[in-house]
Amino acid sequence: MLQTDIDTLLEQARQQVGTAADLDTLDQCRVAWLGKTGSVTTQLKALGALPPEQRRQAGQRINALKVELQDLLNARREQLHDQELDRQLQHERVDISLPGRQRFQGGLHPITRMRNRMVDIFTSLGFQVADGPEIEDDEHNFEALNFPAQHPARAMHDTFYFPDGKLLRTHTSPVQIRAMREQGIPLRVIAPGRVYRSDSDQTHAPMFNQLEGLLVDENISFADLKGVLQQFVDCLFERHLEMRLRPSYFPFTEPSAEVDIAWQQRDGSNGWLEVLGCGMVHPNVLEYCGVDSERYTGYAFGMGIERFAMLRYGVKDLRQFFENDLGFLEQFA
Amino acid sequence: MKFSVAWLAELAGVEFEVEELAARLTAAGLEVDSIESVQAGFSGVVVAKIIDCQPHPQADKLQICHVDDGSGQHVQIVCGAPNARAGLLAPLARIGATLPGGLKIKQAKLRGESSFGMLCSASELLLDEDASGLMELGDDAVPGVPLEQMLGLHDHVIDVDLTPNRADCLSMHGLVTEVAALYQLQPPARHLPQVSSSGQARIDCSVADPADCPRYALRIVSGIDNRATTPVWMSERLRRAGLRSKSPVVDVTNYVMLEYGQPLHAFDRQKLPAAEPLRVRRARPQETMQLLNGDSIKMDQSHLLIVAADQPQALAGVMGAAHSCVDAATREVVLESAWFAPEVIIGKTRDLGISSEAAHRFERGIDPGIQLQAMERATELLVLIAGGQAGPVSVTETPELLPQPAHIRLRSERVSKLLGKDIAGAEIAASLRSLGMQVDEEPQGHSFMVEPPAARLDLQLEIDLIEEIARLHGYNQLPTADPAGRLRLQAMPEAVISSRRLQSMCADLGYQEVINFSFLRAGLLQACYPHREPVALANPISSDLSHMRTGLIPGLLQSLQHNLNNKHGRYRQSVRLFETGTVFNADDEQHEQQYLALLATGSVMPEQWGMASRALDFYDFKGDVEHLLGLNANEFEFRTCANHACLHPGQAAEIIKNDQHQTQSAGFIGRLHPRLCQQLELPKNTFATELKMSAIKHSLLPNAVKISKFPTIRRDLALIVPDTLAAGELLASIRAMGGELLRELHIFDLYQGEGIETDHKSLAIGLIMQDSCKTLTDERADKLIAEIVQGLKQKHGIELRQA
Repeated sequence: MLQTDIDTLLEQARQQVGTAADLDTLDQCRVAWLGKTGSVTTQLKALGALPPEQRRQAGQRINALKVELQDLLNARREQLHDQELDRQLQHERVDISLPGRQRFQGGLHPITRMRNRMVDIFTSLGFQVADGPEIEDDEHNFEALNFPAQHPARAMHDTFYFPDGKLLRTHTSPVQIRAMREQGIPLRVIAPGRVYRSDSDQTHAPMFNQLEGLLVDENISFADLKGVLQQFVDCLFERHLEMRLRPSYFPFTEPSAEVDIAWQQRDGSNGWLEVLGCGMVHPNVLEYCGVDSERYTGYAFGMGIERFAMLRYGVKDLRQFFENDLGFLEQFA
Repeated sequence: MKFSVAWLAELAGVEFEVEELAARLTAAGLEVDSIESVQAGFSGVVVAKIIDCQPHPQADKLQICHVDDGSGQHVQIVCGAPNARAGLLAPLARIGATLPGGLKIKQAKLRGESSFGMLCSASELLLDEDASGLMELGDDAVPGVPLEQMLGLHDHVIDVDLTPNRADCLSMHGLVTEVAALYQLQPPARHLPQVSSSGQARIDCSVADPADCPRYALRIVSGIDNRATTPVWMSERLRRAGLRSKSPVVDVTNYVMLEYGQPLHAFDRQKLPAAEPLRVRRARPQETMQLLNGDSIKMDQSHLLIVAADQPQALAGVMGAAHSCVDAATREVVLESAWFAPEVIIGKTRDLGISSEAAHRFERGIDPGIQLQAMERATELLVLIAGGQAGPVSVTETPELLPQPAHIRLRSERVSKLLGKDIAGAEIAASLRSLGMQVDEEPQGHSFMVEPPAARLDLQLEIDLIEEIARLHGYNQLPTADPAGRLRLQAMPEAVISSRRLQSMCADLGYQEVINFSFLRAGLLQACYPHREPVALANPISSDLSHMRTGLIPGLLQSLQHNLNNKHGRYRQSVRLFETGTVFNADDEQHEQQYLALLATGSVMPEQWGMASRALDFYDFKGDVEHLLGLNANEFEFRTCANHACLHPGQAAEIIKNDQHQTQSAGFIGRLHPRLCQQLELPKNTFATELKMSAIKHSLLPNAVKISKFPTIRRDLALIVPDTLAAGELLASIRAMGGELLRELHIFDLYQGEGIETDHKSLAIGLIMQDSCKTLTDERADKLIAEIVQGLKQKHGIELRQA
């Protein structure tokens, strides 16, 4: 086989392979050249008939041709495979803008969400979560907390009573008494929970949620109380908020304070907004719980979880928390 | 407590900038609720004196008056007020004056007679509600003086919301003491009135139990004119404190109460039984009286009475009786000034549903030293306004039963310890003295003996004084410290699933958390839990919120109703809710238990493309509950339960927890009873579960076992099973027969219909077998399957389904 014949064959082969539209056509080409009876195979078989001095040269030429043809076929096969895959991918395309397979979306109540946040902040400081019953007795809700019998301070709490004289706790403070008696000193606890007052209007619900805090140890002062509350408020709102304390009166703390934070009003100005009550644990309360009030001092605070949820999440009406309207609740998922 | 800032300024001897005063009061714990500006809502109104009155020739009810308006000329005014009379001093709106509401006064003709202005009632000037006649200005008014000047209408009213411990500030004397300390002013000197008792009339008194009333003082003032006009300075101060001017006697008693904090009462002497002494005693059971507000009350031994001839004349410290109260005709009064024990006053106004300024003060405790001073002051003012002669004061007292002055030892070191700041002894002493306390430094110099003023009944302990020091120092000037202290790591039981984890799982399963009130109407509770006895509130806020919930389902049903019927919200067909919370009296063991409940209705999935909508069924809901219970490593079993009041008898189960130690009920699951759905207008395919937190939270620590490395073999069985045999029972039998080799077992098909006998079903069950220590051969696997098939035939009489 002359070099010119080979060149001609290669030229034809390039054209045929290049225009082969599919793998079948390509395979027919392969069989025609390289198959058992293919033209190149036949040439190779015929080599034996050539004189030895020509055989070696011709053999090299034909083998080189075979390799070249094989490469041509492989390249085209790969090309056709890619085109085939492209077609398939094109075919399998979906409209990714169609919504995914829908499931019902659930969520936590905003009060739960806020309570969890408050609990996390205080537990990061070593406060433990304590609880107590919601149906309380007069002793835990009032007497042990230094509310003298019949004292007008009790009138500040619109109390729900039961016929047997028990009551629905009006604050989470009874947990202070239980924790001091059961766990002893030193003590640092928080008590989130439901409380009840017989009051219902736009700004009062007969049931709401409080978070109580109590820390009793040696050398605890009003400065510690101020410090923990300022850090709590800053952590909760993720920014520094000016805070002020106003003297107030709770029978179970002294000195007692109400705490205001500087809050931006709708007109953009800052106004003071009351957010919680606190104070140093009254020595009478410590002594009632068997704690030496000369040796130990402590602070306590109580805050409405709804109050913080309203501020944090922009809720304007307290009552929405208990109407359980899904349109409202789904905003907090 | 509302008060006039001008009055306070007069007592303190300084002028106040109102905003500053309010800020200081609030910072000292006297929270200012509101500041109202007292301003004239009118202009061009002056004092005028009526010179003469003539009947109007054309109108019965009108008079033609000539008045002196200070201009030197008499002005003709046509007036319809019944009290218009010669000599009366009243406000005159001159021509050009503007009245509240913008009415401009012009010259007018009334039935043919010219009127050059208008004489005004208090109501026309928005000074009082009284519209019955002209405002009477009292004889000391000067014609021509602008009314706003005469009334001092450049004032502010501050309303302080006093905490119950600050009873001392329910008086101007108390407020000025506090304000003097806040402004570091000299404590104001008090006017100590002395009146001559020229009258002879005297009334005796006695007290049954001196503990109820350690001091009781009476005085008769006779020959008074209770029709006299209360001077404007007094009626204005009363008005600004929120009290209406009524008559000299009532006004004077109210005024002295505001000034001194001592409530006083006045009886009409002539309405009391003649020559009978007054006596203070407890009421008898069922004893009745009519109060001066018209209420008839029934009393018991907790009530303290003032009686004459054994007839109730007043509910002590609260309100007088209707029949002995003063009126315009009263000529002779008995003034009462007493110290009643707070214990006998507390709660009475609340029980009776009335309000009483006197009781408000007695409840909180009044200054035990001022009863006689207040009596003198009231007498002085009454005689000044209404004339008359004061008789001698009769007093019944047991001074040792009055609150005694407290002597408190205060340690400087304790102040520093509590406040976290060293406060100098000099500042401590100065602060306490500024509040009127007697302060003596003890010889060692580290402590003080302190005697608070008598009015400060709230100061009894060292800590009370420390609070006063902190208040005056300023809470916001005290230091702030970083949290510190002894810490302990917290025990966190790992085998207990947290409420938070359970709540998150419910939310992840597509349920929205709700929070309902813990109380609701008894009927709904009874309908859901007829065997649980709900606890009733003694004083519910309404009958819809009257009983403590015995379970969480009723609240969830109400939330469901709300959301299905919510006309303002978007239409919802599918609702999934959950709630955790306290349940009361659910069983005999514990009064309060924590529960978790879920409720679902509507479709199994939201409406969407590519999936046919299907109504939620029992198994969809059960799957969610099983998923939730799957957090717990213990086994839960579902047992048929046909007798739950709120559940469909054919689609309900009790959930039983089997742990290492015991078998206990963990709750129930089911479809709502169609009767309940109908009653509450709820969709029929509503499903609910209620779970005891204590049961589902307590799990087990994982205990890992070795995983087998040998291959598994799967065999499937199709069995024809009578409907009477529960699938659960069948699986339990297979599991028992399968022994250790049977690793997994699940139902992958259930078929009923053509080719299957009625009342039977075909169950396709996949069994996966594996040996833990060698390769399981097909022969052993087939042998086990054959044994199981044989066993099922013997035990339950069931056959393989023929292909």
